[in-house]
Parts: sequence; C-alpha cells; structure tokens
Amino acid sequence: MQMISDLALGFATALSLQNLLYCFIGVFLGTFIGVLPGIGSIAAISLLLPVTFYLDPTTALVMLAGVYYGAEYGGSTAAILLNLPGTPSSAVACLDGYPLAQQGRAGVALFMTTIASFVGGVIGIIVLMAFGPLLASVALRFGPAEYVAIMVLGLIGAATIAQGSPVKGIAMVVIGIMLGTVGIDVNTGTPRFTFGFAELNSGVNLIALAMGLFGVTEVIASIRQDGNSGSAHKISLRSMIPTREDWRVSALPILRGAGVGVVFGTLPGTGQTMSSFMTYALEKRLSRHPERFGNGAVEGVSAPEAANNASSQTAFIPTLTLGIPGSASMALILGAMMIHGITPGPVMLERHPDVFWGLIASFWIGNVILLLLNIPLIGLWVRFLQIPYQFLYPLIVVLICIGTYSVNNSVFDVVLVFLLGGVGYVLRLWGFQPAPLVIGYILGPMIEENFRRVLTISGGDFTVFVTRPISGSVLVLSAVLLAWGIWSSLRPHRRRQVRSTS
Amino acid sequence: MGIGDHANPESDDGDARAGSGRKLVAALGGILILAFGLLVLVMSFDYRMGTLRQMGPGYVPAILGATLIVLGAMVIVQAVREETLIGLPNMRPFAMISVSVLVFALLLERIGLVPTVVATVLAASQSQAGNRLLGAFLLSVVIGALSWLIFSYGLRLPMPAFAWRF
Repeated sequence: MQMISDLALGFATALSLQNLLYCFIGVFLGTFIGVLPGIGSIAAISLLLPVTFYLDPTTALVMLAGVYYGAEYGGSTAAILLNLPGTPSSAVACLDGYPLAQQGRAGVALFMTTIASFVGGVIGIIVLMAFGPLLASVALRFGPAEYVAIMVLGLIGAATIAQGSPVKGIAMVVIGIMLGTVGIDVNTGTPRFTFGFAELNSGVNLIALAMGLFGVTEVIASIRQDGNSGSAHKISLRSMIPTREDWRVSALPILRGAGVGVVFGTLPGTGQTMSSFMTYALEKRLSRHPERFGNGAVEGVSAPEAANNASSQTAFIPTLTLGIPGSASMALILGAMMIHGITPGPVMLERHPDVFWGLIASFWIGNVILLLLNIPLIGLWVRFLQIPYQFLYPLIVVLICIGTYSVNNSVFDVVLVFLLGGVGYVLRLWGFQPAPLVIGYILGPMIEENFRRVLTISGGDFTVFVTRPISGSVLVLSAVLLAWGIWSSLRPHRRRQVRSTS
Repeated sequence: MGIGDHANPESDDGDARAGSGRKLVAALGGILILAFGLLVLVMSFDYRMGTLRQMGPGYVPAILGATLIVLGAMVIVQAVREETLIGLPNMRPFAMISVSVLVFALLLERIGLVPTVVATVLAASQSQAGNRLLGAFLLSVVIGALSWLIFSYGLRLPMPAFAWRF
C-alpha cells in the first residue's frame, strides 16, 4: 500500500518534537482566535507569517495550517454562549446555539459542535488523502496552458462566487494582480510602479499586505464603543453530556454536513462560510420538524460545524496539489510556502513528500489535540471570552507593527501597513472584500509567467489555450462563470442580497 | 469570506441616508476604482508596451488599467440602479488605529522599541471614547514591558529597546 508508507513518512515527520510543539501552538492559537469575536483566522495567519521565517518549512506550514483549522473549532463557542460569531463561518451556530444556551443546554451544544467538528475534519482529511495524490498525478501532465486556464478559473471563481457583488470581486482581483506587478519586471528588468523607492523593487511585501488588509482592517471593524466583553456562564463537564436523542438527531446531519463541506471546500471562492450556510438550509429542508430550527435544534448547530471543518481540510486539495488557493487564507499559506522556496503543485508531492504527508499527518494529530482542547478544557476558552477586548486590540496592533518590521527591519513596510490598512478599510465600507485581492496578488505573477511561457512555446499563437482540451474546457467554464457574475451584478432590481450575514 | 463585519454593529443600519445623496455615495466606490484604473493606464504608458509576442513591461499593466476602468463603470451603474448598502464607518477606531500604526513607523528607529510601543498602545486605546487615560497608560506600560521581554531580551530582534536619534 503506497498510502500507508506515505502516511508513515508523514507521521515520522509530524511526530518530531518540534513539529508536535508547533502543531499544538498552531491549533491552540487558532482556537483562541476563533473563540474571540472580532478577528478571524486570516488575521491570525497574517500575524504569524513573520514567525515562520525562523522555522523550517514543514514546521511553519504545520503551525499556520493549525491556526486555520483550529479557528473553525473555536468559532462556534462565542456564537453559542454570546450570540456573537467568533469566525464568519460560525455565524450559523448563533441561530440554534444561542437558543440552546438560553435553555441551559450550552454545554451540550459545545460538546456536539466539537464532536461534529472532529467528524467533519476527519472526513475532510480522508478525502484529502484519497483525492490529493490522484489529482496531483493528473495535474503532472498539465502544461503551462492548462495552468493558466485553471488559475484563471480559480481567480474568477474566488471573485464571483464568494460574496457580495461579483463585479466588485473581479475589480479586487484585478487590483491584486496590479499590486503583484509592482517591482522589477522579471523579463525586462524594468522597475514598475516603484515611485523611486528601492524597497519596492522586490514588490509589495506579502506580509505587509496581509497585515494591512486583514490585521488592521479587522481590528478597526471589530472595535465597538460599548465594549466587546460579555458574560458567559460557567460550563461544567457534566452539563456537556448529550442525551441519546441529541446523538440520534445529529448523526446523519453531521455526515451530510461533512459531505457538503468536502465538496465546497475544494471549490474556489466557496469555502467554510458558504458550506455551513448551505448545510443549515439543507437540514432545515430535510427535517421533519423544520419549526425546531431557530429554537434550539441540536442538529442545526452540529451539521454546519461538521461542514465548515470538512471544508477547511479539503481546501488544501487545490492549494497543495495544483498550487491554486481557493481562499485568502489558502493564498497566505501558499505565500508562506513560496517564501520557503517550495512551489506547491503536483511536483511538490514528488520533490517534498515529507512536507505534503507531514502536513496531512499533522492534521490528524491537530484534530485529536483540538478534541482534547475543546472538551475537557472548554472552561479555559469560556474564561478567555471574558477578557475585555479593550486590552486585546492594542496588543494586536503592536504585534502587527513589530511582526511587519521584523521581516526586513524596514520601517517602510510598516508605512505600507498603514496605507493598505486605510485603503482596505475604505474599500470594505463600499463592499469590496480584501480576500479576492490577495488571491489576485498571489496568482497574478504566476499567471503572467505561465502566459508568457505558453506564447513563447507556441510562437505567439493564442489558439493553444482553446485547442488543448483541458485548458479549452476550463476556460469556457471560466467564461461562463464570468458572464454569469457580470450579468447577475448588472441585472436591474436584483433581489437584494443579505449583506454579509457572516 | 466576510471578515469581522458582524462585529461592527453600525454596518447594519448603513441605509440611514436617503435619496440621491445615497446613490452618489454608493457610486463613489466605483468612481474610486475607475480613477485608479485611469491612473494605472496613464502610468503604464511610461513603460515600453512591446508586442503580443514580446510583451514589454507596460503591456500587462495597461490591460489591467483598462479593465479597472470598465469594472469601475459597471460598479457605478450597479450603484445607481439598485440600492447598495454602504456601511457607516467606524470613524474613531479608523482614525486612531491608523494613527497608532503610523506612530510606530515614525518613532521606532528614533526612540527605540519600548517607548514606541507605549506610544502606539496609547494611541490605539483612544479608539474607544470610554477608555480612561490612566488605564490606557498602565496597559501601554505593561505591553511595553512585555515587548521588551519577548522581542529584545527573548528573541533578540535587532532593534534598540531605547534610543534617541533625531
């Protein structure tokens, strides 16, 4: 069995003392960030990017990934106890989780979400293990034309499906590509858009970009004048034990939720938030007692949690095997890999099997740690919820500044954080989301490079993109998606979208 | 992914403004994109365009600039046609958090890490009107001490803890 030997290699890597430690740190911080309403996992990953410079690549990835999926476990805690979602994807958990808490069943809700998260996570990892290598072996035969096509699909998908207006999403992608062109042009050696600053010759620093767009803007958006702290009740372990009825009504919904999450995780632009909302809607429709939803239905909390955790694991499939990130978090993790000189994609499985399988093994370990962190130690997180936010956000600002500065010892990068944070916040007020921008920033230069390579090989002949079957069909799909996005944006009297319920 | 919008209570009642003024405000987002696209397009003419087979450094930026102009126009059309919700800005945090980051950038290499952190925390904590100055000062001293302990003493990052360079 090839997979068993691969997985053995993975566990040998992941079980090293250093990787175990950073896996623990990652999932612990992830849960912490997830529990706190206000800042999410993207901001946390941005904050930790500078730290990864001091670690070896596998360890760095294990930690960043841990933050990412750990946040999905913690997200529902504040939703259930305070009716405030800790992460966008756990907004659904408020609908039934808070009523459960009001009925004195918060413990059960927290227990069931943790179990559902674990089951969802495990199913996600299994799918990742089964389909990741398969997809990579197909992708090995891809040429630059196919890559260009798939990256274009990834960009358009991320821009149009995600949320809000597709046209605004596409605009943010283009601005992201634009920011990616800043610096010395690799083909001609001309510095572009540097305004004479030598600091910009190597491009806009990814870390400054992430810290500004996600760190600073999230801190600004999360500060409330009336104070963010709430009072949550103590949760005893005894109160967490679910009844047999709770298990019975949750079992199938959890599995269905995981199924939805697995599919949506792999698609660009969809991710955790959409999969948890879809699952909730699906379960409400399938239920024989839909009136229970919104009034404390256990499966209304557990199924979406299974979905968002499953999708946070399968999001790694396109990122690791094709090198194409479907979300901003994945784009940052991809950026971290490139900082370490590892190019994600099908070749990575051959050249760095220890990184790939070590990361997957760390997912197993991380999910088990999360199970332990979230059931016996739930009291700790409830206590964290009581830290007044007014103490936390100045600390976060300081960490953003020191973290950015430390990468290049450059004050210039901190000024960039100031500018990008301001611009990012203003754009957000007008409904422009920063996530597609970062994906454009990461993918833009890769598309340009492969695009030029194709045209060099074909001697300037554009038709290769369409005549090669895979790239042709992917491009047609992208065109359809693009047309749909533009049409749905410009169609008059569109039913007004629920503005980012997340 | 919608990030943190839920935590901003003011974004829910963003449609408080009414009439054509609101449409103008909504269209401003598109105008911003259009203007940026125009700027990019004009600037890209400074670089050599090249041909399709041998693209110069200005080729891709010019295409991107032109695309942004079109997209900006579409956003304007969209804003005029339908009711777009604009979130009310979280003004005070916006100003103070921005100032605190700028304070850090301006002071770090002049007065060193610890006093800079104190000043940054003081500025940031003014984001909430209710925060007392004494409490903010205590917090800034604690975070300043912590950052000395972690970054100067522990990790030995190459930045002076205290300095006086003007």
